[in-house]
Amino acid sequence: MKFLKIFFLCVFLTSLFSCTSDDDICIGGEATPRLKMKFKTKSTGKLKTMDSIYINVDYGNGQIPVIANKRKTDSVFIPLRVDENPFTEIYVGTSKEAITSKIKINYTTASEYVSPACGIKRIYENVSSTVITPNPVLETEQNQTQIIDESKTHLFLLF
Amino acid sequence: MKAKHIFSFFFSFLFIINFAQQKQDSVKAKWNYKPNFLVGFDVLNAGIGLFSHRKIFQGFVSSRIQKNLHAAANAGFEKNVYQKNGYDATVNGPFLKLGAFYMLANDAENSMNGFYAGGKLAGSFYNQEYKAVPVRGYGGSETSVAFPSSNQSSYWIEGTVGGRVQLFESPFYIDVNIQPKYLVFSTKQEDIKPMIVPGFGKSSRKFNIGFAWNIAYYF
Repeated sequence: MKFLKIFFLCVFLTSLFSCTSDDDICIGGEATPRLKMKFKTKSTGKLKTMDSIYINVDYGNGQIPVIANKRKTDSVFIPLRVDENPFTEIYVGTSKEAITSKIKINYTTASEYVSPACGIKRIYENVSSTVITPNPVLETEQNQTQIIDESKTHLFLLF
Repeated sequence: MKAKHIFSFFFSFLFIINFAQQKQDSVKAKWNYKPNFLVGFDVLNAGIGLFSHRKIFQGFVSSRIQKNLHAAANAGFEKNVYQKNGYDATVNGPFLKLGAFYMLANDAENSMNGFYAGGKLAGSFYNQEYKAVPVRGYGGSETSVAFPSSNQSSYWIEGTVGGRVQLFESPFYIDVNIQPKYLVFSTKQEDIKPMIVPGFGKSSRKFNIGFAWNIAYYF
C-alpha cells in the first residue's frame, strides 16, 4: 500500500499548490509607465533639488494629492490618466497651502497587452506640455516625447 | 517500486485464482478484446451548473482493452464567465479528451471496481468574448478595453486519478475522479492570455485541478 499512499500524497500536495491565489497582483514596472519629472533652476539651467514639493493630479474627478514631500526631492513619478482623455492636468506647488501652478500634459495614447495580472498598459506618444498657471513653475522643458518606460526623465520643471 | 510490484502481483494472483476454476482462462495470455463500454455522465458538475455561471455538461466512454488497461474518452460542453480584477470575459465551446488509465487496485470479485490512474490529451475549441480587459490606473482612473468575440482553441494534458464502484447488482457504476491539468498551448487574440478555457477552467495559471462525479452504465 506504500505506493498508493505516496501516490495519493502527491495528488494531495499538488491540489494544495493549486489552491494558492491567482497571480492577480500586478508587480510594478510592467504596468502603465509613469511620468518622470526632475527640476531645474530657470536662470542657471542646472538641476535643482526641491526642499519640498506638492503635486496634485486631476484624474477626472477633481484634484487628488499624489506627491506631498517635505523632504529634499530631486525627482518624482506621476501616474497619468489611462482613459481616453488626450491630456492630464497636474498642479504643482512648494507648500501645501499653495499648489497653484497648473500644467497641462498633452499626448496620444496607445495600448499594449502586458500580462493576466496587469492587463493592458498605456503608452504615451507625442507628449508635450504647457504651463497654464506659471507660479511657482515658470516653464517646462520636454526631454522625451514618448513615455514607454520609467528609465529616462521625461520632463523638467523650471523654477 | 518494489512495493508496487508486490502489490500488483498480489492482485494479479487473486485475479488468477479467481478465474482458475475455469480451466482455459488462466492459461490464455493472448489478447482478446470483447466489446465492452462504460458510458457515464458527470452529475455533480451539471448539478452545480444550475446554481452558478459555470454550465458544464460532460460525459465519458471507457472500454477495457487489456486486463487492467482501459481506454477512455471524454467529451463535453462548457459555458462560463470570468469577472474578476477588472476582467469581464465569456467563453463557450466544446472540449474533447482522449487517453487511457490503468487499474491500480481492483476488486477480486468484479475487476471493474477499483482505483485507477492515467493520462489524457485534451483540446477545447471555443468562442470567447473579452468585454473588458483592465487598464490599471491611479486614483480611481481605471478603465478597460473591449475586444470583439473570436474563436480560439487551447490544448492541455491532464492526469486522471479516481475510482469506480458498481451500484449493488445493477449495470450502473459510480465513477469519481480528479484531474490535475497542465495547459500546454493556447491560441491568442491580440496576445491576450486566455483567463478562462472551457473544460480547463481558470487559465491565468497553467496548472489547474478538475473533478468529476459520474454515474455510468455498463454494457
